[in-house]
Amino acid sequence: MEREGFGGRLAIATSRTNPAERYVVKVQKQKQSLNEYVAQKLISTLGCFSIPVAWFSDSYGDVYGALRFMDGLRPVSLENCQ
Amino acid sequence: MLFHLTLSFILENADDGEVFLVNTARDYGSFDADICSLDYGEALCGEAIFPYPFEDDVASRLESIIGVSQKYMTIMADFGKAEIEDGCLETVRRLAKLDMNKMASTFSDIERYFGKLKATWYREYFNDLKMACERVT
Repeated sequence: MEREGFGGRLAIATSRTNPAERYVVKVQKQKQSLNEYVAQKLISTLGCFSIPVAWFSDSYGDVYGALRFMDGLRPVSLENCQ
Repeated sequence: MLFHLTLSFILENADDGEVFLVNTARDYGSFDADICSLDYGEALCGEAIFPYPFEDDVASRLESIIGVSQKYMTIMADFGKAEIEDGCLETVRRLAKLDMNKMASTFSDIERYFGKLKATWYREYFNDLKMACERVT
């Protein structure tokens, strides 16, 4: 599944070892995907709630950072909060 | 909760749709929920919106972030200015105490998949960030 967002195209990938686990990958922005991976690792290290991450390899062997897709995510915006 | 919200703002990542709630038990107004973001990466490691990099200007950046945070957080939840300042400072304190050893496996993976140069860049970047935060705590 893919959709366009501000960070380019987002792909939802399914784990080979656990089909119940799905991951969000920024397939058009490899550098951003790496940054997302590192950022979540840092957030975890700081003792905050963080999103599980994994490495994703495409059919060309290029590696991307991937964040676990979590059900129930709802974007926070000013509209939602007013 | 405030700490995590503050982390989001301190990383200058408060755009609509970039911060997400999970496991929401009630409406947004209560903020009784965990919070996470799918978009911290650019804020942490990408190009800065501010004219100076985070690590060069922590104190003044913190000050302006507190101003922005106050505006947004007052709408989203009923935090006072003092609470927001405390949250921002707590974020900086935690960054100052960042245990780089806990990031070692991440840097190791980056070296394996993206090369030594890239791993070195991230290692030095976080080291600079940590030292900048140490200077203001």
